[in-house]
Parts: sequence; structure tokens; C-alpha cells
Amino acid sequence: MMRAFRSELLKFRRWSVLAGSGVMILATAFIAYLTFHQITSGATGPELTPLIQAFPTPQGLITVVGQARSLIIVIALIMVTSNIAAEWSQGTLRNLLVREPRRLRLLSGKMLALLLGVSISATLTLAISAALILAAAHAQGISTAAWTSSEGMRTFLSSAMRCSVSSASVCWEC
Amino acid sequence: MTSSPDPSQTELAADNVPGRTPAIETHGLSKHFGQRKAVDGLTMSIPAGTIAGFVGPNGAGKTTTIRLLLGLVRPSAGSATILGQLLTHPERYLPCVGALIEAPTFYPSLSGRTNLEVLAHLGDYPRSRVSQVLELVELSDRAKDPVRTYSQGMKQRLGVAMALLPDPDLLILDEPANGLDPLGIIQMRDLLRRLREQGKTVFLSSHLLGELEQVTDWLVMLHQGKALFSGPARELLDRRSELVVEAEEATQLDLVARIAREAGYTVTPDNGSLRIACPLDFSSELNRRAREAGATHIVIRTKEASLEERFLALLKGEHE
Repeated sequence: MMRAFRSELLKFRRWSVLAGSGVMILATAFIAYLTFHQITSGATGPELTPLIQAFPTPQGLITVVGQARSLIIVIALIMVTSNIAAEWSQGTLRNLLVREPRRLRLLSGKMLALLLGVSISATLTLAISAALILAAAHAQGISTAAWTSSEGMRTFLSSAMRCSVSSASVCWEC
Repeated sequence: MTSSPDPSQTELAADNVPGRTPAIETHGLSKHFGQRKAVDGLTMSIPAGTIAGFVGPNGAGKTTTIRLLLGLVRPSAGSATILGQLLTHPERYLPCVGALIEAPTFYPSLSGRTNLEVLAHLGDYPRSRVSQVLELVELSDRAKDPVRTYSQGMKQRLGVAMALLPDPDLLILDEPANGLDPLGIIQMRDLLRRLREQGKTVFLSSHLLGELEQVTDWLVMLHQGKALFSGPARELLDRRSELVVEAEEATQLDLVARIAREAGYTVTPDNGSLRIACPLDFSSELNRRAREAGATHIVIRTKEASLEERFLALLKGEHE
């Protein structure tokens, strides 16, 4: 299984994998910034009310960044399924099966590597989006003390962890 | 040919080849896709240390047989041993088997070297082996480029490198000459001979019969999923070779025809000459007996049949 895992890691160099992570980061950062902009520009509306309430609290940062949570999961799902589908349609799966005929070992090693990749991608996405929002808040002179307080950081980290794990587990379940 | 997987039979066949178990042995191996029988009771034996040719028209079941041997599809019936191990346990023999199946497939955006490293990691082969095989197929200078920039011939060579990665005892190649230029084909032939000298077995499918004739010492002919012939290539070629006898006098030809018929061979008169279907070494005996009978002015020529002619003759026999 570890052989299949290490072999799969080498394939992360493909541009399609990098593109998937890139889309995840850009789309999440964009949505987070849009939410931030709506709140700070004083827009109102029924969907925005809970966000505006949470904004100044320690949960503020993760609430803004987490707006794209379902998008992250969807992109992660696409990355994993398209990877396995491509092995099949390109015909590269048979090369792998000749070198590792035990299907279960091959698949579990591959899934382990893919889930690790997806979790790293999701974590990176949340970190970059959070950094962007913090920078934007600084630029506009908005206090971020509640977000960067120890409680704020703890909330952020545990929510971020949950998000990457859930994106990985959704992929696993399908 | 029987299709019953009988263990005592396996041992018997193994004893026919002194000292070594056959590299591949199948008994009534079959694969059905719905109603269609892609491989239908295939029984064959490939001795170790030979270059075995696997020929047959398109759709004869060559690729399906290869996929069966590699454990990529499960047989519907029958059994097989590869390198002495049962087909049902591919993990026992595949580490010593290299394969090139149909057109080789790669990850187009990864380099040639990375493509091989993926498989080297998976099969647990040392990384130095990747450089070795790249050197062997003369791709070292392009190894860092993505595979999508490779020509057809280069992809084929990378496919061969992929097959050689485990330093296999048995090499299974499906149409390895596809897309190779004449020089590439000659290099491939040399490579196969070098591998045979190292005591390895090569199982080679091709429809380029002329190409196979030059390298193979064992032949399996497949038609509609069944083996029409499985044995030494020499035997097949001899079986259908001919002597052509020419003489100016018809009476002398008649004499020769009688001698040949008495020896049990088929004689066909053909435009003032005779064609005798017999082993080529019959010519000296025929010559001696014709002289004794008084036919002194005859010319005997040998006509060795090409693999292509043999194959067509076998196919014709099958249809009749």
C-alpha cells in the first residue's frame, strides 16, 4: 500500500492537479473577499444579517472565509474523481495493475495519497484566504483583534481542520 | 488438444522441455464477452528461453489472451501457469513479468522519467533501474521532456523501457513494432535477441509475419480464439516447404512423381514441373532414387515457404 502511496505522490506534479488547487484557492479567496466587501460596505439583507452579527466576534474570520466551504468540497470531489476516471480512460490503470495486481492495495494507497493532497489543498486555500481578508481589514483600518485573539485563532484552526477533513471524507465516501 | 486442467498433464508437458518449466502454459483458457468467444479453449505451451511469436488476424483474440495472462481480466474457463505460478495468483509471477500492452499509455504531462518512476515506486524497483532502461532504449536525452511532446516511435520505445523495468524473466509484448521506423525495428530485433541470450523468454504478438519469421523460434497461431498451431517455428515452416522438380522429358517427371508418391508425399504437376510437399532434406534421397530409376536429367530446387504462406494455408485448411 505504501508503494502505491509513494507512486501516487509523484503524479502530483501534473498541471491538472496544480490547476485544481489553483482554482480552489482563487475561487475561495474571491468569495471571501466579496463577503468581506459586502459587510464592510454596509450592505444589508436577510442572508447577510447573521454574517454581520458574527463579523466583529472571534468567529468573524472563519465565517467570512468559510462562505466557500461547499465550493472547496465540490472542487476536492472533482479532483479525486477525475483523477481515478482519467487513469481508466487514458489506459494508465493497466500499467499500474500489472505492477500491483492486488486491487485493494493499489486503490487504498492511491486514495490515501489523493486525500492527503486534497486536505493540503483545502488547508492552503483557507490559510491564503484568511491572510487576504486580514490584509484587507488592515488596509481599511478595521480592527482584527477579536480574530487574532487566542480564542479567534483556536476557532479558526478547528473549523479549518473540520473543513479539510470533511472534504477528504466526502471524497472517500463516494 | 484437451481443455481439462489436469495437473499431471502439466507436469508431463513440462518434462518435454528438458530442465526448465515452460514460461507460459495454458489449458483450455477461455474468455467470453456475452455471446462472443474472444478466447475459446486456448491450449499452448511456450518453453522458457525462447522468442515466441503470437500471430493471428485482427480480432483473433491476441490482446485478450495477453490481458488474461497479465491478470487484467479473469478467464471464463480453463487454467494457465506463468513462470510455474498459477494464473489465479498474478502477484506471484507479475514481479518477474514485463509487459507492453496495445499502444503504451502514459501520463502526457509528466516526463518520460517520471512516468517510469511512478511504476518503479509501485513495483519497488531501484531508481537506478529507471536510468538504465532509459539508456537501453536510447531515450536518456529526452527523458526530462513531457511525454506529450514525444513522437510515436519514442512513445513505443518508452513503452519497451516500461516493460523492461523489472528486469523481467518473461517479457510480453503486444505489437511492439507499431510505429517504429525500419531502423527502430532492427534495433528492437537486436534487443530481443540479446534478451534471449540472457535466458529470458519473450512472448511477442504481431501481425507483421515477415518480421516475426526473422526472430522467433517458437510460434503460436491463433484464429477465432483457438490455437491453429503451437510449436517450434522451424517445424511449421518445414511442414509446408516444397521441392520443385524440373525435367525436359515428361517420362522422367513421371518417374520422380512415382518415387515421391511412394514415399508418401503429395505431388502436384505444375506447368512442366512437379511440386512435392515434403521436408527439404528429402531432396538428396529423391535425387539418389531418381538416378537409380534412370531419371538423370532432372533439376531439384527447394522452395521454403514464408510464414505468411504457411499462415494463409493453415487458415484455408481451417475454413475447408
